[in-house]
Order: sequence, then C-alpha cells, then structure tokens
Amino acid sequence: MIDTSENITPAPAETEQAPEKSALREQPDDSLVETFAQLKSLQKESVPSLEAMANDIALRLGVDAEQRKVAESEVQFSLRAANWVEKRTALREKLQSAVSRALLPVVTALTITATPALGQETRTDRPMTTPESLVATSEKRELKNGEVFDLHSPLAIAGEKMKALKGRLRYELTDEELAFALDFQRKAWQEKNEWGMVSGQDKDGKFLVATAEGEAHRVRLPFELSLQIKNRLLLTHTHPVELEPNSQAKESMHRGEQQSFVAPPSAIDIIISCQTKTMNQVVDPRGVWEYTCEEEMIKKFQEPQMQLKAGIENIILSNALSEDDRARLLAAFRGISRSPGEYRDEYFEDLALKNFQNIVNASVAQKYPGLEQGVASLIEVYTLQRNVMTENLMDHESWNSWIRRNAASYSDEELAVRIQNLIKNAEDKGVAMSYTPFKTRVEKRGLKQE
Amino acid sequence: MSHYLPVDEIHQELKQAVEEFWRAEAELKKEWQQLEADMVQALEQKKVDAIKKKLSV
Repeated sequence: MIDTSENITPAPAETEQAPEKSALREQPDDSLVETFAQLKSLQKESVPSLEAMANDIALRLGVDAEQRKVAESEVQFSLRAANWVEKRTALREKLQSAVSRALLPVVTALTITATPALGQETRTDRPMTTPESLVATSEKRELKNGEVFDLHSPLAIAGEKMKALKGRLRYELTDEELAFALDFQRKAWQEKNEWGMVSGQDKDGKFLVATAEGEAHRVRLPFELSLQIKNRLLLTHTHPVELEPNSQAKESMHRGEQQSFVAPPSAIDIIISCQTKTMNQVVDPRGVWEYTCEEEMIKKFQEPQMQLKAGIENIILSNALSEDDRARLLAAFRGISRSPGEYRDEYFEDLALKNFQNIVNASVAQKYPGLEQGVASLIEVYTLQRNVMTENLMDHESWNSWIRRNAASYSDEELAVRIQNLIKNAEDKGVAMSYTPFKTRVEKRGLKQE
Repeated sequence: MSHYLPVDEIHQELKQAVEEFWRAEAELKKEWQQLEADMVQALEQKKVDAIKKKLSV
C-alpha cells in the first residue's frame, strides 16, 4: 500500500486462515452486500407516529375524541409513548455510533491525501536513489514485454476498459520500466519491506526513476521526482510475500514449494490512484497489476466533498448573518480541513462534521431560520454519497482478501476466474485494471528462468 | 497496521451492530405492542361504557 499519511488508524492483524479447500466459489461471500443492504434499510426506517397509532385505534373502534382522551390518560399514553420514542432514538444512535466505529478504518483511509500533491512545489530532505546500474543492465538486455511477461498464461487478464485505454495510448512498458518491474518482483519475493518507485520521462524523453524502501506494510513513494517528469508518470509499489496472512503458506513460498501468491491493489491503493490520476502498478510475486481511475470514478470521489464545501460556504455567505457569526462559522467549517495534520482536507470525518453541526445549532441556528436545516441537508447528502464510496471500497477489499487467501490452493485456471471477476468488479466501479504474470518465477529466494 | 483494510473484522462488527439492534428492537416492539394493547383495551372499555350508558337511558 502506498502510504501518504501518518494518521492512519491501526487495524487489527489479519486472521490466519488456511487456504479454502472447499468447492470452487466464483465470488466472495455476499453477506457483506446483505449487511450493507440491511443497514441501509434500517437507516431509512422512520419512527412511527404515536399520534397516528392512537388515531388509528380510535377510528377502528369508533370512539370519539373525548373517550380517546380519557383512555389515553388511563394508560398514561403520552408518557409511555414519549419514553418509547426516546428509547428508539437512543437505539438508532447506538447503531449509528457502532457503524461509524466499525467503518472508521475505511473513513480514515478516505481522509488520506496523496501528499505532496503531484505537480506542486514541495521540498523534502528524503534522499532519492537512482540505481543507474539497473537501467544500464536493461539497455543491454533490450527487454521486451513478451519476454518478461507470460502473455499466454490464463492469468494474463486485462479488463475491457484497460484494453481500450492501452489501445488508445499505444501503451506498453518501456525497457527501463520492465527492468524495474523485474527488480521489484525480486523484492516482492525476497524482501520483507515494501518498495515504491516513481518513474517517467523528463522533457527530453530521458528516463527518470526514484525508488524508496518502506516498512512491512506501507511505503512512502518518492513523489518529489514527479516534478521533473513530463511524460509516462508511473507510480509503482510492491506487495511482498510478507503480506500473505497465513504463516505456513508464507514459509512454503519462501522455501519455493508454493509459488502462487497474488496480491491485488488494495482499496487504499485505489483511493490514492484517484487522487494522483496516474497509471499505477502493484508488483506482486507473480505479476504486475496495472490500474488507473477513470474520470467518472475520480469525480465520484472528489465531488461529494467539493459540493459540501461549496454548499456550506454558500449557505454561510448567502444568509444575512452578522459579520461575527459569519466569521465564526466559516472559521469552524474551514477548521475541519486544517486539523489535525491537515489530513482531513479530502474527506470530512463524521466527528468533525458533527462538531460543526453542533456549533451551528448552538450558536446561530435560532437567529437564522433555515440555516440549521440547510446545513443538515447538505451533510446528509454528503454522508450518503460517502457511504456509497465506503461500500464500494469494502466490496473491492472483500474480493481482494478472498483472492489472497485462496490463491495458493488454486490452479492458474481457477485463479484466473477470480482475478477476472475482481478486475470486472473494479472496472464496473470505474477503475481500469489488468494483471500480467511474469515469465520468470522466483525459487528459493532467487530468480529462476522458466 | 494491516496492509489491506481489515474487511472481515469490519464486516463482523457491522453484523454484530445490526444483530444487537434487532435484538433490542424486538424488545422495544414488545413494549409498543403492550402500549397498543393497553390503548385498545382502554378504548374498548370506553365503548362498552358508552353502550351501557345508552342502554340504561
């Protein structure tokens, strides 16, 4: 995973699970979809009107208003009804709070910004490495796509959108890119940490590359190089064998007995690619995933927060607020995107929005009718849109997790079906994707030419 | 942290939240039904009283 923020919620370690031996399934357990459907239906339900209930009963029994009033008083209807509504509201709030807590890692992932933004001036003290020797080697070998990748393998799968994009751009990896992809394959097998790379061509067409070693589960890409790149900007990182959740399977792979570890781009990788708007690669031990977000997907990702920002600022500016109130609300709203660590700039957290709503309700809502409702409506629309994104990311990750867990136990033909499904699923959501397996396999911590 | 989003754990937590909501809501539904039943009984009684009153007149 590409890391672009220090503010990531720690997630529990993945549970060890033996590869699935049961009958072949072509898609992950769909209960995640069911759970989201149930949540949506629960969130839609409104609290029934107790007044309507009392009316209905009175109507059915044909009693008049006077009799009804007496009956209500006898059974303490108003008090009991109010208690009931209160309990029901508390129950809904409890559900909402539990859902927010559960989804915190996803929402936190959505707040990650690809900093420093590509193409903007940035300064860094981080050293960049440019292994010239690799480029020199690649030039001598004159690598070609067909020699590096096994294009006849059933695992060589390109989504329709990726095929169309590559056809339009006449896109094929260059010799230098191929050399680095091979080097990253070795790193994916042999090194515990992830590696990241930014590569491309400068204004004269010269190949530039910077690589960086990360930690076990994340790497910070050397984005700074992108300032000099004018063409073929490519962001690459490894998904090493170390990501295999099952320790026995991992050992088996290190011993060279098992060679089928496949680790697709994560949901966070997809988010980053929406922000960078680049062609991206994940190099796993078996092959290279290429992926890029379509304009439509990028819009879906960016528009909700832009609409919320514009909407709230418009409400604040267009209402006849006093100068003090206007300044206070603008500062409170813009403050959401400034703390802590500026990482909320892209997506607002529930808590930050709730705080803002509280400020509106407590300080100015009574003075300016309609303001509270206007803010609440905008936040509701934004939350619904963000929920769709959250659901999509969770869905992608469940396909992902399912492939990683089962890859070792499948034949290439069986695995290909799953990879095809994952790619189709990603493309349906607006992420063009392909997977191309290497011709070479790594055995016993060394590369072996087949 | 885990490289990928902990999708299974998140799913478990969501399922648990939904199940807990349903359990609590079932209890609440009983309260609702009791309130409804009490109202019906009280109103029926009013109706009976009204009929009795009419007959006695």
